[in-house]
Amino acid sequence: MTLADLRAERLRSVFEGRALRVLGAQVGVMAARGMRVEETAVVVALVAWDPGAAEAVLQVESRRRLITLDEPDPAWSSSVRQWWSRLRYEAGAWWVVDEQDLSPDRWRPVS
Amino acid sequence: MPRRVLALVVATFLASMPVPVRAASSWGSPQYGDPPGWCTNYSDMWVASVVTNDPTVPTNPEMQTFYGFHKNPGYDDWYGWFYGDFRGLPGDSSGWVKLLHENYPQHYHWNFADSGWSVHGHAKEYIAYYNWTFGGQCGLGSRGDRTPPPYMADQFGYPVVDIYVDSVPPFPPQPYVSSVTPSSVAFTWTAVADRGDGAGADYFVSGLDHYVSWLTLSNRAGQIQYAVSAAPRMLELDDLGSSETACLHVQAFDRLQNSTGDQVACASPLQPPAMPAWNAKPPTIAANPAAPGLVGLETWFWLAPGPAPMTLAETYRGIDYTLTATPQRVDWDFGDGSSESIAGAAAFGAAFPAPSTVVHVYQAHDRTGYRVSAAVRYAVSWSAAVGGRSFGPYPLGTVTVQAQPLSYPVEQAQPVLLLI
Repeated sequence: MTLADLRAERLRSVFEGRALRVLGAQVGVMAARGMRVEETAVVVALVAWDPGAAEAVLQVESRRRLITLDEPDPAWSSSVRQWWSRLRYEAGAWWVVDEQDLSPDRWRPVS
Repeated sequence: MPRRVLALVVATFLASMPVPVRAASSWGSPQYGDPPGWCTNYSDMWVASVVTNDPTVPTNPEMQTFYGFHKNPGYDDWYGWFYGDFRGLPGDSSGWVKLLHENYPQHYHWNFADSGWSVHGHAKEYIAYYNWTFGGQCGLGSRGDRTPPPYMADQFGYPVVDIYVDSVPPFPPQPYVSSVTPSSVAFTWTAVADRGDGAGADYFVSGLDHYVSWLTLSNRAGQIQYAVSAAPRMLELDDLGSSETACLHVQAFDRLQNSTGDQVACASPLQPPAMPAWNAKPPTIAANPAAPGLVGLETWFWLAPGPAPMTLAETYRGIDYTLTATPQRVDWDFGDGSSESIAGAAAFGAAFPAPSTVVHVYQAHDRTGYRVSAAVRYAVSWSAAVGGRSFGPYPLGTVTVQAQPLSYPVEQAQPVLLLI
């Protein structure tokens, strides 16, 4: 199994539907170009959960860097994002069926 | 020139003019509209939102995606259109800017620093390749649309990226002494807000995240009571020696980890000031009836003027102190072997004709005069001003002020027979 296959396999264990299609394609394109995102000092907080719609928003604070063939050791920069996802419960497990990073004007307040 | 061709030339020229487009955007944030000539056919249209503290946007997901895919013609010209605060001007619009010429099958890099730019606040990036060969893919000419659509959204990258940069730390918190005694010091600090980056419609503020605070002690290495907190907290050190100095250090962080410098406030336990010399003018003792008094008749005494609180200001070891002496009681000695200690305002008596609370009845005459004396006892306290705040009062001791004694002769009344 190649590294790309392994990543795709891991995606398939969490994502379904549009989320799997988009993320799978993005991971594939990045891997083909020798790019990957590294993340450290990750702090995750659930900032919104709508049980009726099965939608969640996670805030992810981290240090990130984009590894490329040209820049294998770039500096770290601080990042914060709010990640929206729609979930589906099926066969005893939760699946992410849609997702996106919210722009800051749509961020949910952190209590 | 045929009218149709002329219209195309004019439309192409207008399409490349760097004017802001305020129409609704189909991609990314709605603040800026999609640029003219923007064609999204054949692109997956991945839209990314990047929030970072680095104006060079090192995690721009589009910066390494300049690849060629076709041997024929074997090259592409890549263009970008940028809105927002990307070259030092809020509300800016770049127009279509040629970024690079790419030869198949090489790949290329472009990011803001390559053009001498840096992002502050919000910027929106559109990346497209100029479609020399496939202009018809977006309806150029052949489908009756006279608007030339040569700017094809990147197919295998993130053709639209919304970028938000906050590289400015929060306002600096102000640490201060919240309590100080002769053996302890306590500190806290003012809550602050985050400061954002950029200006106007492109202003972006990530928001305050937390404070980091700790204490240091002059004769001890290391940090004391180090903690991360979401709000200002109180830090206190007890059992301090008079020669020790404690300092509070506090830093504020926003959500992108921009932090203020180390804000510091220091203080030592307060040293009680020395008891000053109270140069108060001693009160006099007044009596009614005025001398001579009469044996067996009540004599009312009072102090004139009545004692009042006294204050003194002094500076000691660089700290401003205020000392206050408050009259508490008076020890009266009526000169005939009797005395009385009276507390509170009643101790001062009241001037005639008001009935005085200091009353004495002499039992024997003394033509030379009884020596009446009064000792006013003051309780002395001190307060100190540190960092514009006052602490105290703390007790310092007592001081006694002797009233000017009164010589009060007392006579025996003689019966007199009056003939009417």
